[in-house]
Amino acid sequence: MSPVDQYVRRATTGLPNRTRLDTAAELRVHLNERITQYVAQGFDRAEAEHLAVEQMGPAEPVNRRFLGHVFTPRVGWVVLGLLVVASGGWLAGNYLFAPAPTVKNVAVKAEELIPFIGDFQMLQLTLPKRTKALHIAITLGEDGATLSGTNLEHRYPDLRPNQRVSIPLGVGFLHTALASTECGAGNRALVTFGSDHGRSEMCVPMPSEVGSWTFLMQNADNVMVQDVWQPLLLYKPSVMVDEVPPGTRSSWSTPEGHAIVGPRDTWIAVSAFASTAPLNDGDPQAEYPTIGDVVRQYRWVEF
Amino acid sequence: MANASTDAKRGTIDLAILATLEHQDRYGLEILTEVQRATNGSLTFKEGSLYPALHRLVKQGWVNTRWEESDSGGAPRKYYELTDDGRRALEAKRQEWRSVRDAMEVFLNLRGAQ
Repeated sequence: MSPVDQYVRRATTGLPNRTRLDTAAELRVHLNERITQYVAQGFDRAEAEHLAVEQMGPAEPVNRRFLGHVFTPRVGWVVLGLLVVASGGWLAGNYLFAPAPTVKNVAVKAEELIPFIGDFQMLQLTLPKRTKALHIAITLGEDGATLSGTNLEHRYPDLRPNQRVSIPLGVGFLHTALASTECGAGNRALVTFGSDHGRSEMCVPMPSEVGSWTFLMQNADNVMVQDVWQPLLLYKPSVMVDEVPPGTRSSWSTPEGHAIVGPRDTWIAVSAFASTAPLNDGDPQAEYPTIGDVVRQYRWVEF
Repeated sequence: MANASTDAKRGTIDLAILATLEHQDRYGLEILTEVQRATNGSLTFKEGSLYPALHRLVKQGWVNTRWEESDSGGAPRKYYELTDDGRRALEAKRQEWRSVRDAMEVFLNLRGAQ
């Protein structure tokens, strides 16, 4: 391909066909006249072609101005390629190689144990996509003290799906000297600890009765905002989880059940403490989930 | 006379083309040659940049084109002709240029006198 052909092709590439032919013809006429002039001055044909093309300047800026924008076809293809690669990477990161939703037990730092006497557990959660709220139930043997957390958007406004977060969740019996309330003989201060709830103490008989449980809801008064929250699941003290039948609203404040409620895209992670002697008279219940197990995951069901 | 700066050239190429076509229809290389002749070579630019500028002027409706046989027996040439809108644009740009030139002269003279 001659220098003239190369220049004309580069300068007119990407133009609509009719415009490209017209412009190419005009550029070719220009270059041929210049070549004729140079040949008349004594240059040979190859030199004249070279000088004529050189005189035109670089073809790419001319092509950009013809196209009326900065994207020559070559730049356009490069940008398109980068977009495809970036999109592919995003899709792979979010879907193909996204970490699976998990609940994992992680090591507890010594200072986090200071307020507690008894069990304490730290969970690391990897949340599914679109997770907006989270409920976590922790059971203590059959007497099942339960801690529920919720509303991730409020609690972790920067939280992204598939992000691993460590949420400290703990439960235990406070030493009498540390308890802020006097529970009286035969009772002990049960303290529950959640990342957004802070600490909550309540007096429970010791040993606790079958079916007794404690929980923390979204606010300190344990009041559910019915306009916002919809019943979703029923947590029984035995950690059996039942879906609330459509159109019904479970009774959440009875010893038989604990209604866990949440908005759309709620993810339910049920974990469990190992039952230990001070907390439970009985043996650890084999049917209870082991620490860190995701018992079930539920998406919010529209009634 | 020193060559005009690149920015000045870019800002004046439209005006130069329109002025070159004011009294005569011309083809690309002829426009270029005329600009260089009329400015004693002080206003020069890469020849390739002439054609996108001409395309822009055509798009704005200031210039019309036609292909015409070469009088020297070569390939046909594409001639450019100023439209009525082009003449009005030329006049406006000319006034604008003179205003800027006068203002700069006053400014530079004042600075020079200080």
